Amino acid sequence: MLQAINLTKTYQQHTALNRLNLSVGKGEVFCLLGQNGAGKTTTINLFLGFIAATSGKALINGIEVKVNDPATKKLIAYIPEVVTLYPNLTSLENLDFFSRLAGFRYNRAQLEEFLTRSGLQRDAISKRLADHSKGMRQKVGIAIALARNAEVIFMDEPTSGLDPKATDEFTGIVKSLGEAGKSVLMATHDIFNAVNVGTHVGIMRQGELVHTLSAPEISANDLQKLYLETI
Amino acid sequence: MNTIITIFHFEWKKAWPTRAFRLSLLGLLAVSLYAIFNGSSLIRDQRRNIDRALASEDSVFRSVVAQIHTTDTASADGKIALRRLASATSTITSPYKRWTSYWEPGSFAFLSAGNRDVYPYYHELEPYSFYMRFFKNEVSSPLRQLYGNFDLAFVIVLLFPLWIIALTFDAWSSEKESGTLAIVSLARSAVTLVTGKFLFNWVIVSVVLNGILVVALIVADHPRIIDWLRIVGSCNAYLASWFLLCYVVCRLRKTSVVNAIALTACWILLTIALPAIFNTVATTKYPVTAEIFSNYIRRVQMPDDPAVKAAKLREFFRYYPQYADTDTSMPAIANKLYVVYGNLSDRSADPLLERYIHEMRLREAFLAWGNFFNPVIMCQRELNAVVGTDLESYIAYVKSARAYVQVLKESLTAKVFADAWMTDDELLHRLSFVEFLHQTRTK
Repeated sequence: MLQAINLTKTYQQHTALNRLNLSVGKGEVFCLLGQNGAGKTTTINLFLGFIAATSGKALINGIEVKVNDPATKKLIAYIPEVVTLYPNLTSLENLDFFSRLAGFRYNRAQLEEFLTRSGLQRDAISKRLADHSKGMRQKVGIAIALARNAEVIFMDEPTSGLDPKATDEFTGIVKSLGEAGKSVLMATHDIFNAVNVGTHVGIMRQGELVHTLSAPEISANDLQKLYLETI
Repeated sequence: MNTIITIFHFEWKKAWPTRAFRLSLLGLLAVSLYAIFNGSSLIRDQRRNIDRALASEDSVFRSVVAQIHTTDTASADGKIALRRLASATSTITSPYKRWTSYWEPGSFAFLSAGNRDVYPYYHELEPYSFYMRFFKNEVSSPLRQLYGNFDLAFVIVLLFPLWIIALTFDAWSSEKESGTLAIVSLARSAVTLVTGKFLFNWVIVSVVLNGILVVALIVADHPRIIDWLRIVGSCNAYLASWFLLCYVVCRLRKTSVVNAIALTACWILLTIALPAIFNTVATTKYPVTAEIFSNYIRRVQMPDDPAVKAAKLREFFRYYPQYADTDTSMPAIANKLYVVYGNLSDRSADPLLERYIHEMRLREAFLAWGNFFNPVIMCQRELNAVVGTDLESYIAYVKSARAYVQVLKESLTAKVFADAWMTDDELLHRLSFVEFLHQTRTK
């Protein structure tokens, strides 16, 4: 579903991403670990088509990503680190707005279905987002991704700022996305969460993917040790 | 189109629950309606004052006629009193018998009162000397000159742009800061979203603006639709220019704070700083003569020197050769000398008036040139021009008043040199300023 071939991004003298090669298959959850500036967000932005690659290719479902190319955009969804959305709108209205912009028109029952599938409590559906916790807003963000019917979902540090219970809930939701056949590429600082949620874990350093591991084959402690040695 | 409708639908849902939006919308509506009320009150008061002045003029002349009929002409005192009341000389020189000229407010003057309360808008004139009366009144309210009037033009020109800034300054940056820009840009171009938001706010502002202008149309007395349409066009174009400025600033993709500071700075620059700078330069570069105010507002003193008197009479007869065979010996010429001196005094001041007008126009032209790129000043100037509160309208009034006095002067001078007395009909059915204007326009 998702493939990077020698993907490189340089800014003048600075190389943000250097010859990255990775692939994420259908139903896989790939977690990228690394310090700030390691190249995780640059990787996601390249796949999203927000920035152009200096060299190499980013492929989604075999289609090369280009900046603002609708051909790949319709296949993907994105959950940024800050999901404030529109605080004056309810969860339902936020979802309705983004769905309509994406060209989907759902009735109320369908919208509620997306929100409950993303783990939002029913009584929060009609509440304004201003009254939601970050975890609840993340769930609305997932509902927006589900409503887009996206094959690939990108997440940029989605669990930062979440309390342990919310993180646990979020982990379950992401796992279920993988089980539903979605491909997920997630940038995170949370090693334990990466092991729990991911099928694969990559460790990045200074724009390079140094290690790629199969998550079920490594414990959180071993991953932490490897991570600290790597960075 | 569906995207724009969706954006409009949800922008309204986002905006209306916001207290700041509701307060600003309702506040601006209330302020606009009050500005219409305040401007209307100002113009209504001016109309009342003009009516009072006209009534006062009529009352004085009726009183004069009544006194003429009740004067005991058998007594010596009565004969003197009759001369004071009914002679043409006393009619032309008496400080009590005054003719009223006035700067008629236009139908929409209340929208943009301009300098109506800064310049005197009615005058009680004497045919004896135009300048003695006309420029005697000082600027009625110097403070108003500083602050302007609280009229609808003030609200539209100064307050509406602030509202537009408040509505749009974060149209782009708020999306970026709340993480929605990235999500939206996967579905639609972010430019489409921001443009849609600007269009939504433009519709809201336009509805409020044009609604208020409809109220103004209802309030106006005998409005000309073409004037109203010009006002509507000017105001809409002006506010569109502010939207354009906000759009350009937003597209620079800076933070909300930077946008807010930049747009507020633009507002201060365009509404206060640049006009103040150009005004200062204009005042320095194009000074307006004050001679007309200082030298000609006093009653002309009669020279004692017979040679000076003779010279003045010769000059007068050059202009009015029809009176050249008048007996110039004393006391036959005594009363006529006032008329002669008043006439010559006005004639010598006329070039100063032309100079004064020329200098005012030079200053105005410089300000128009300097503010050509400034929509704030251009809109205010256009509004003043449409509603007739601009400098040119005032100059037209001054010139009309001067011509009016000259016509009165000519007809009364003929009677003075014929040693004729005023008839009841001449005193009661005088040529009024409005009749004079009508005759002039007809010609």
